[in-house]
Amino acid sequence: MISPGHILLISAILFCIGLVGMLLRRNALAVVLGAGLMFNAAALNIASFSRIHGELSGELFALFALVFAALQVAVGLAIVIALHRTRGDVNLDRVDELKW
Amino acid sequence: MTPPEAVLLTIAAFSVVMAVLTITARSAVRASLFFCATSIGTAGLFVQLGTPLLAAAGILTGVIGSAFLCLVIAVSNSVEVGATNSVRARTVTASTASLGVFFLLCWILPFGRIRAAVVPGGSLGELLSGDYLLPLMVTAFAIIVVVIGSVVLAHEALVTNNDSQESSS
Repeated sequence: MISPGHILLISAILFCIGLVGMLLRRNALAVVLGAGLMFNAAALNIASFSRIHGELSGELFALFALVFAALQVAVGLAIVIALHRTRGDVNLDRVDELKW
Repeated sequence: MTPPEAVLLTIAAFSVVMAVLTITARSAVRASLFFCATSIGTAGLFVQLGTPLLAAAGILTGVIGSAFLCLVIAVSNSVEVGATNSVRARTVTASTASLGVFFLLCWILPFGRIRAAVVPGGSLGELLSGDYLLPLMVTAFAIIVVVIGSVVLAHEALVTNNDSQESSS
């Protein structure tokens, strides 16, 4: 029998994969996609808990999370394009002008 | 193993494999396509949860966003590097294949979905136009700001790049 607990487990796995991608990859695009994976996993998690508790509010939060994930990817893509155009490189280790 | 469990296991395995490929792919286009596939898998999980609205939102944000990203990269490469027609053909083939998989999943996924623990009263539309009207408006405003900001960022980068090319030549 399928339960929302199974979906919670899958969302945890997806979140960990996104986290690993975000922490280990140096390519800016890969980091943006890793963050997108984490947003998807978080929305899945919220929707699962919404189903467990029988609340519609959780689904709305998940909907907003998905929208903000799209916004994050849009901003990330713009930054990656800006990096690629100005430097010809999207390796985050070499983008160090703003570090403190 | 019952058929609904088999469907869930298949979708979960598909999502996890595609997520791993997303973060390990060396090519940006392939990473975008794998992310697109992951979004489709996640949408399938939303359908299994009995939340079709979230599945639609996930498809809209993930699939359309990553397909757009993929197209931008492909067009950018074809302009800058002078990619051959085979690269464009492969991009179109991959996009068509992902759309085919998407429609196939739309047919398969509603099978054996999870029922809600408690049948909720009201609807999402009523909640959105009532208690959650302010967050909805803030989100809409954020979308406008992000779209304008992204266009400005990309445009400035393009202008800077053109200026540097002209000065070097």
